[in-house]
Amino acid sequence: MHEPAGTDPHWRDGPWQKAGQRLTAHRPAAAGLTVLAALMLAVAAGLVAGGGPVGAALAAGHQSLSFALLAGLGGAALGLLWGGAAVALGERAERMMMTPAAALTGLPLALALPLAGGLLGPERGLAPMAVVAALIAAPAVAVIARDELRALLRREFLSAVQAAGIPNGRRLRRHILPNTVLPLAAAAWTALPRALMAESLASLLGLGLPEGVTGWGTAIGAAARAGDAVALAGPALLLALTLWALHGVGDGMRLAFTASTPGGRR
Amino acid sequence: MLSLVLRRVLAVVPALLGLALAAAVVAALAGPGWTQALGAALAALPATLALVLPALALGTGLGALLGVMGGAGAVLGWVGPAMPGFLLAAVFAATLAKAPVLLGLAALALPAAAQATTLAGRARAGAEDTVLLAARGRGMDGSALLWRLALPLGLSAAMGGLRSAVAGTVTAAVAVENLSGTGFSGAGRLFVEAARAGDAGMAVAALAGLCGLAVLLGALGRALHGWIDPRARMA
Repeated sequence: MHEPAGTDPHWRDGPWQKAGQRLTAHRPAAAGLTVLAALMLAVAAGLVAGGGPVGAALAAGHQSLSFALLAGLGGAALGLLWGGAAVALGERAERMMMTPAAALTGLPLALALPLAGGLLGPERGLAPMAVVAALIAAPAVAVIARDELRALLRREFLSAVQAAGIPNGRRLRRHILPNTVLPLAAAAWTALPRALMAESLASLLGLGLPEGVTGWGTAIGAAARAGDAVALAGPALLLALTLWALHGVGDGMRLAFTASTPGGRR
Repeated sequence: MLSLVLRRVLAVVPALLGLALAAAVVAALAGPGWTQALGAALAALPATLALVLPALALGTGLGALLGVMGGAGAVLGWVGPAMPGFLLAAVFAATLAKAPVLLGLAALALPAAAQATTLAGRARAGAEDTVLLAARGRGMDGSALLWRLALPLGLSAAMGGLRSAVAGTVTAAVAVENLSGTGFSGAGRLFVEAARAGDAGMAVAALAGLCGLAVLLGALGRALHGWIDPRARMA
């Protein structure tokens, strides 16, 4: 027997709660969220307690994660703007804007960060490096955002809204924008692992974070060159765990929030 | 097959020329020796190609096979995101420095294999209730099913994701070349040494060479994909 509407959890939960339930039902995403939360706490604890190889690895994580967050947010904003503008400006502009974005995703773009690090010299600041890392992450976000927006605009409920004669402004405000938030959040999330990987690679090569700022990549590069497996273990494990968690959450978000992913929400 | 390869390669010639032109302009602006910079970058590319190509072929082929077989393949696909090539290169350089060539290849092949495993596994799961079920119904045995149906499906899916695998492998090759002592001396090492020295002309020329290599390998991958799966020829 069905419970009355309002008490059945299926009807009581709003779309955001349901999206959250779908995300946490995806096991790698739930594990990834747990790992990320634990890492944040551990990095904060490492900053307070400090000392020893574990404390040093956690402190290095603070630099890497801060940089990745800053660059990832910049890359996400830029990519969403790129993809959104391409869709909004019509088919011809979309082709012109998305062809280079798609071509860039097939290039080893992460190498632009060590190039920038080398050309800016040892006195390089964090801000220009973060801008370059954001530019590296943006094309992939733009491509995914465009695909998500296109998939959303093809959905039946929007045709029904149009057929009902609802004005464009209201259609955008009431139907399109609320439904783009979660798929675009999933698209934006991909900027975080990209920024972290680009920074770690550049720092590993000695061309990433400025001198005096030690990230996971810096510590891994130094340990690899010295052949010190013990010093390498902490930062390598933490970086691997973070990348795995970020990818797990990203995959979960794509499955739970998007309409374009095979097997994703319809 | 040859005409397909030619068509795919010819389609990326403008991109390759654009990269060469951009590198030449930057090298010319950076200093007088721009022809030497381009020559050095071109001369270093075969060493990088010798590192990247076998790793990609081995990783994609083996990954597709493991993906359609399940079991260990699923584990490899599951841990794949945690092991980018540059991280594996650093771990191998710090722990097992005895065979740099083999370990360099392994560092590049494993991430490609992990991606291929994931894609091939999904392709097999998608075909389980259709093509594979029909083949089983017609009495096809497990071995024939694997080699004649599941593996081509898995390979096709893995080849579909080759473009990003190529970009990742070329990026990781730079780390392998720089962490493996004197084992390799290709465009990756040239790129990092020039960037460290602040030599914009040489660094950009080497980077353009690496990008060109990725574009060319991507085109060859698309041709191979079209050969394995006729549906991909339409793309």
